[in-house]
Amino acid sequence: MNSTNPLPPCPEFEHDLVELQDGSLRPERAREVRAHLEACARCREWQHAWAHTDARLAAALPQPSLSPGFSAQLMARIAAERGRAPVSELRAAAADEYAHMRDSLLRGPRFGVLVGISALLGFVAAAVLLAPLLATLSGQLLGSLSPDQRLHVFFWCGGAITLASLAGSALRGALPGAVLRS
Amino acid sequence: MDAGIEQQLAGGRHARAFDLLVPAYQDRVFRLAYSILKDRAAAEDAAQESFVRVWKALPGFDGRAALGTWIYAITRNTCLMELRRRRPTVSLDDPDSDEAGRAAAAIATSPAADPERDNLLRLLETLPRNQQEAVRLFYLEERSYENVAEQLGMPLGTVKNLLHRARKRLMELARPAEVKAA
Repeated sequence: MNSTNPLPPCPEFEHDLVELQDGSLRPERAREVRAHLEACARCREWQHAWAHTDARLAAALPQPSLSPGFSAQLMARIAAERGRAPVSELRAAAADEYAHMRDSLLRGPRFGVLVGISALLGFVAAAVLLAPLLATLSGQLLGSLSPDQRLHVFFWCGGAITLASLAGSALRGALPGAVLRS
Repeated sequence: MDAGIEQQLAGGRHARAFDLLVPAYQDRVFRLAYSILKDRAAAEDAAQESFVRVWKALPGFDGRAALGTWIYAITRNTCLMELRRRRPTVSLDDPDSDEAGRAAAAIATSPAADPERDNLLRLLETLPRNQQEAVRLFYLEERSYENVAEQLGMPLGTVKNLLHRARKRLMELARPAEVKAA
């Protein structure tokens, strides 16, 4: 060690002298160390040199701070990351989409079969019950119509049945661009 | 501070948790990066990169370590990778490396008219890397041993010893020059 350096302090006080300088020593120990400093010239000189180096270091070291645009720049990067969804998220989204599609495919035919059977049974029952009445009425009605009027009746009935079928398909989501169920 | 963030994390609201943790940690992450990289622009880049990594890893954060400990570990790794990228073949603990030489040369050629300050900064560059980082961070963190220990991921006692050795060495090296100058 160079002769211009102070003599080392009392070993049992060295670390406490530093912590006293840093302001992190417990108050009761700080009182003891201050009392020792009053009595020990060697520790006083060493502490003086330490305080000088400490103050010079604190003044010499740069104290940089973040630029004002840091947060905005970071959030822009994060927004880009969010846009670039990770593989795990893409995989989860694809699995959800697959499950939804499978569910709707299974649900669609079941619903269709149920409606079809119900409609068929209803139609057969109605036909059995109403056939004699309808035959009488339609015979009277058709008998009272001219051949041209009969053609009109068939045309409008056919059109109405077709439109009803299309509406039913749209309700089940079977028509492109006409999905009514979310 | 972390309680609110951890509450968001526990609820799976990672984006909200991230929005809270950035303002809470950005200054300390930047100061830690600066203490390692010794360059303001590089430290800001490293802080950005660290937060992007935090964002990506946040869904996997299991809370076994404290949130701050985890964020600082990511920051230190980011900075060490940056140092390795700069000098892939040179030991990071070598105080006589090219980087230390460049930093000392930059101080010597800077227009500042304070030889004592320049000498102190030059001497700091001669210390082992972990001592340099601890000293820079200690004065950036307003002499808080606890903050330095948390950010460097070291026990409190280790940090106290590291800082004591570093500053004592600086005092021994700087005093003769100061006495000569006076």
